[in-house]
Amino acid sequence: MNFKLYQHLMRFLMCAMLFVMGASVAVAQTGGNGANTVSGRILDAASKTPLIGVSVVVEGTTNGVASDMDGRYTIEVSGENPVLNFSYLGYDTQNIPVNSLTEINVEMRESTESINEVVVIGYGKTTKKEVTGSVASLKSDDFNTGSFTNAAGLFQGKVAGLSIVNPNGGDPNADYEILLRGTNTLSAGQGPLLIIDGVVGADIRNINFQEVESVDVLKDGSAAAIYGTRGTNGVIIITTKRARAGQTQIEYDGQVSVQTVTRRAKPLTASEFEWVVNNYSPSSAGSLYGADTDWFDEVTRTPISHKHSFAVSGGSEKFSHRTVLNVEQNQGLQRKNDAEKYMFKTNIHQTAFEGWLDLDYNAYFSKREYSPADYSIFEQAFYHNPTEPVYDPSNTASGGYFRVDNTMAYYNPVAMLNEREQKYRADDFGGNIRAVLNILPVKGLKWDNFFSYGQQNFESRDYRTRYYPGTIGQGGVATISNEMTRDIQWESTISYSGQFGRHAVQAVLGYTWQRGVGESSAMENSGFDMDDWGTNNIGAGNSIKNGQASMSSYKESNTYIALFGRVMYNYDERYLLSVSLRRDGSSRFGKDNKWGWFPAVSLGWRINQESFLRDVKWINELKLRAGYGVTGNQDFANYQSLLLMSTSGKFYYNGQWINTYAPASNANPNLGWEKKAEWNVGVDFSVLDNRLSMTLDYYQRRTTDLLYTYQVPTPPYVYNEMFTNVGEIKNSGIELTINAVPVRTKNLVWNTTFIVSRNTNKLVKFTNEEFTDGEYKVGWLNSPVAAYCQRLVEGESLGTFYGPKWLGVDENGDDIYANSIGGTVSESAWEKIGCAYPDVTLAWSNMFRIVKNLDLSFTLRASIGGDILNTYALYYDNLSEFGLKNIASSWLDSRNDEGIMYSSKYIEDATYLKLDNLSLGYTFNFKSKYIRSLRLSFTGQNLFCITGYKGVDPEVSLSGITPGIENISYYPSTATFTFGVNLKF
Amino acid sequence: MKTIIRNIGLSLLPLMMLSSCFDLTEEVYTEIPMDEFGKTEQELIATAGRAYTKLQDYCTEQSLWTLNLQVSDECAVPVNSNGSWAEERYSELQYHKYSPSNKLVLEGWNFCFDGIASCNEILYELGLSSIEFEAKDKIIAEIKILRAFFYFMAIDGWGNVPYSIDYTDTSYPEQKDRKFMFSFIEKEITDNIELLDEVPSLSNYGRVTQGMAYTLLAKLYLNAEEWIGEAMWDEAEKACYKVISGGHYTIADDYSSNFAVSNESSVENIFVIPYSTTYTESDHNSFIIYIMALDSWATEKFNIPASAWDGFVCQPDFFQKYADNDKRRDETWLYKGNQISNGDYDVTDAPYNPVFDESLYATRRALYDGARIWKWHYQKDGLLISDQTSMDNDFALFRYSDVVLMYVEALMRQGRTGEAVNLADFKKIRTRAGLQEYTASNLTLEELLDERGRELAWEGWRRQDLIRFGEYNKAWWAKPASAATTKLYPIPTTVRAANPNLNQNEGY
Repeated sequence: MNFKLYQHLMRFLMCAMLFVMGASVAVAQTGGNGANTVSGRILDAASKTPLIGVSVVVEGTTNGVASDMDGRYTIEVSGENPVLNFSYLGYDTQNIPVNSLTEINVEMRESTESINEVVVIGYGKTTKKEVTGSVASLKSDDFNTGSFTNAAGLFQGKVAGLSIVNPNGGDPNADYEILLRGTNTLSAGQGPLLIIDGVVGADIRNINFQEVESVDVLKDGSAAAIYGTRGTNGVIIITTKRARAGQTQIEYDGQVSVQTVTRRAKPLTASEFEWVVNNYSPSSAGSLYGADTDWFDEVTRTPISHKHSFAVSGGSEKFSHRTVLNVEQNQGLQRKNDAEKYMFKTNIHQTAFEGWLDLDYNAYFSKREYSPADYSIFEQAFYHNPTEPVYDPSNTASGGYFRVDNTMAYYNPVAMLNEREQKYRADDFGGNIRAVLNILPVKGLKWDNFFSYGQQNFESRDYRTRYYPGTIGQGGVATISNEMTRDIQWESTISYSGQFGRHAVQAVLGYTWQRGVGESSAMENSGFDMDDWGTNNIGAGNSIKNGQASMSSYKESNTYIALFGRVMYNYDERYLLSVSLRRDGSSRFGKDNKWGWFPAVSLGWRINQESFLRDVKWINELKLRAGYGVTGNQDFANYQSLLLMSTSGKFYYNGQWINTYAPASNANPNLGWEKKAEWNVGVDFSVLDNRLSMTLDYYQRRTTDLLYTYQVPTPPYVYNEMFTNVGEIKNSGIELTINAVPVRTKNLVWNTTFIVSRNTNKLVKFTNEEFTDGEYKVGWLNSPVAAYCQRLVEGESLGTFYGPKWLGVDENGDDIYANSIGGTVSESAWEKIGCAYPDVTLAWSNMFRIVKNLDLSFTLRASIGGDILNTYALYYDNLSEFGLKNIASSWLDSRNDEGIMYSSKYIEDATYLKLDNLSLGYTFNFKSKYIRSLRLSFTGQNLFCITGYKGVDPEVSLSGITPGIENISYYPSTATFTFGVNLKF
Repeated sequence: MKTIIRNIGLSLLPLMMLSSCFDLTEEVYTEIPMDEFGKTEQELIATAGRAYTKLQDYCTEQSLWTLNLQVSDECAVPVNSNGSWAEERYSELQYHKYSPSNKLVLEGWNFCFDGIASCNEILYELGLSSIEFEAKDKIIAEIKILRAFFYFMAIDGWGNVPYSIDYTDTSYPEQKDRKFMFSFIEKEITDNIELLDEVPSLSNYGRVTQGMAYTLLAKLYLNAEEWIGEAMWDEAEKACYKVISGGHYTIADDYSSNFAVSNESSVENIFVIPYSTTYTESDHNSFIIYIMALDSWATEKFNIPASAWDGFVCQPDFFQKYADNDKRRDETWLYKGNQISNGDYDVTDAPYNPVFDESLYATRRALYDGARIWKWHYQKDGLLISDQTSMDNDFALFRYSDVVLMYVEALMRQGRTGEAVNLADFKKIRTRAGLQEYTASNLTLEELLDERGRELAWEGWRRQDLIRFGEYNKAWWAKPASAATTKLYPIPTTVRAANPNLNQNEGY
């Protein structure tokens, strides 16, 4: 066992022991009074149907039961003035004093936008009414329906200001790209900090999306500052379904889905190709090979996927559990692009010592086995000559595939696909324990200790046969790489919450320690006598004898430590205040820059609690919020501040080849984190029995000490790049969320949510005394275009396209450009020709429940404004490379006879409207002992996209510093149709 | 209650004992912190060796060597028969229309200045180290002269360059003109030359020796008139004579032996970049002319498993500079008519047609148009498996026959042609090629330029020669006449962005 890990385990065990000692003293002090029995029936207030599984608990105790099939319950009650607490997910909780009654019947109201809803904030919880930061909270009813590659798909288009895009089309292994409130960094990570069931920095791929119970997004600086140097990109807290007391429940959820291509890049067909050769490019006649091949068809299929999940839960208030098993088999559009997942997760909740100790255990194991897609195959299939046949049995050197000799990077896509086996495997396992010592004599005082360990073992195996087009001649190339990452966390917090008359206080003080270790190794060999072994006999390749095999290994680690505290106070639930402070340290920073302070303060005023509004019944909530907080970003590689020597090339010395050593980079001992200060003001407004509510936020975030890799002169520097803190970015924006229940009758309920957000980005500063160049060119477009399409310019937004301004065509049909001299526009005369970021993003979600059993939902998502570079048109809507390569079918319309030239002609409006999802479900409720309900659903995702954009898909990556460029190596988007079954026993 | 409080206090103890856990020192595993390095002689030699590894970049796909080839009249990269090689970066160079953003211009610059930066850093480290060993002064002298070589290549290409010789001074380097740099290079060589090995041997193979330093000095003086407007033929003559009179190098009997797969024993090579199929394998330190020049006929012929790119060919007009009986033509080029057939190589059936029309440069040449280079005869062991695998042939930067030809030129420029044609080594260069010795009457400067072209084809000096002989801006083959300002390359855009002190060369 790793010594550090051992130390921390011991430390944890010590704490746990002391808990037990403390708790056992207290146990003796509680006693019991006489008891009586209360029973009753619980109905839905609207439909008057029984509610099953409502939790009935005697307040202040752990004594609880759940309602049965008919909504009936029976509970033993004891103590003085006992109060029964009735709670049910999605309904308002009711507290009813027993007052010596023996029968209590309850009608529960469905909560719409309850202000008492729990909101998870960092290191604690609060309620919607008390929260003062900008926090979005989603429950399972709010989620998207359908089938997703991971849980981020659930809340795409659900949170204002949180942009979730899927730039990788139908790739079953692709991740969503999550971006909160604009781009706030130039080179550090942009993904929000993800916390899953308390594990900070968890991997979203390790949970099954069906298991997510709630998602809370800490958006502004005042909410996220409690996470210090990792808070800048926002914090997403995911809580999975937890163990719950009650009778044993078994749930099966199954899905089968099929995909069809919606958008892709279209090349000329074989007959069109031949026609263009004959009429426009006779010198390419040698490129006519007589076949008629649809290369796209050759590399794709109709993918069918299925997902199954079994969950078992139940137990008593003292000991309950939930265990889930999840199996998935997903197919990608590209042949051989598959993904299998097996996940097991269990959560056990236990209370001990009469409520003194709460224990929560989690363990998970997940296994993913997949074959990644090769995006360049789609690119090759696009430009591969359609008159070439796929196979050429006479060509033994290429393995019977048709091949054009003497070309660079021009490969038969079918051979690329068939002659390569890639098997990736990621095994994740981990566990954590949360032990909460409730110091019962002081009501509301708790000591919470959380210990977590997670490990991922990743292995990739890649075998390219002797006929793989890029490596013909190498006699088969086998590569095996292994990576192991470990993450250890310990978090200890003391929290208190109390009510003194009209004063309510909630405070937390804590320490956290986290260590990450990564180890990797890789080996490659080639020159195999036969391809039969694949990667399974890697030593047999001859290249190891010839000195042409390779082997490498690497290890790294980092440590992260913080102390933090927060006090939340409110007077009469009317005036709210939250103050937090974090002292954060990371090993990644320079020697003198290891620690930093991250303060935050936020205020709230619930005007509806004021006497002048208290009696206005139609206003349920009117709250003003204002907050300020400082966060950081340390999401970059380890060791950037150190001057390290690493092995460099080999040198011929005295008749022998010896290693040489070189500095690994230009070290920057002053390296620090990016600091973001953010103001946020907001208003929450809810009226008409909460049937219409609205949240509006305005924010301004300023990131300073931006990290960027600056060009430095060589010499004096050994390398021409230096990673350093210089610039400043400002993002400001407005976010509006409207929830409404326009119809709520017995037979029809319509819930609708509309979100809209707008963000403006500005690179305020990019220079200082040392780095005076205020303009960097980014967004390199490879040869034959060979131009940078965007620039980083002080005072402008990131993602601004610069290029020659295209003015149209002259009478000869030739392109004309502004400031053109002899057909070319010098780079100094290039103009601003667009900006990638959308002006406004919108989403509209709707859910209809018809006669209680039938539900229908759909989500529309739109992005307005924003520009995109139509890369396919730029490269392939002309004849420059025609002949060897195919071109876009759009050329038949444009008949563009000019060379390749980057200009505003190819910058298009990226506005789009997508129907993300349309779902129809029917639920059968049974009164049987064996089966409780059956739900059948049918969902279509990504059903249509309305856009004026002429390229492949206007939804492209918006993160990073070169957003809005459609990638030429891409994965086509697909529409997914899913049939789902959900059975509850 | 008291017990509880005490218990809480006790259980807080671990929290208090955490001082060890406020430790944020980075643990390094795969690299070595610099302050722990350089403690032994071997480590210092390994550090100094890095300056030499910077030379290995010279013969990669986009580098100073390929840059200088493209702008001269000895090489062309036409669009090939299947439409590949249409990239503008090559045609731009061929037509002398290079822009500051040209990739090869940038890589050429990087070759020089990465080398200089490494030398500065190595000299700093060697200076810091208190370890003393016998060869330390020699190693320092080698690194200084290697730096002078990189500066020499830099002023050859760009003229006005940033001057930086102190690793610790991180201010923006000043831009200096050729005159300043010329004196600096001259002084660095003369100050350090005596510390170097005089006798070439296996122990200093591939390293800076006195022979290398005098050759460098000779090249500097030879170009003085063009570079600083001050003819220094006499100094050039003397520097060449130092190499000649030293007697350590001779004109080999076999021209090809200097370029052979195993050419370590060449008696003619003065300063080589050692390459190895095993040890110099990557995209930035391998010699891969076979990938750029050959096609599938040739790769099959030479048992080269890698797929070649069928790009670089010999310019037809240059090919025609060889007399039919010049043996070097067959030793250098693969073409239809090559007579070489011996135990090792039989290339009599090569299909390449060496002369083709210049109009095909921009459209498409035929599959076998253009003679292909095979001066560095290809190894047939089947180990050239990918476009990153280096040939085993070591690349001679400085060769004795070059020194002899420079000596001849220096004499001729001083009106001593008669003396030159009588030089035994010069005669041997001609007779080795199967040609008549020159006479004072038929050896003109123009002829000497052609002879340098044939003898030193694709060895990297043609551009410098064309400039010095005043031919560079004239029209040739597909290239129209070019402006005199193209004798200097533009300073790359990104380089100027990183250093505000750098002014662009005239004409860009």
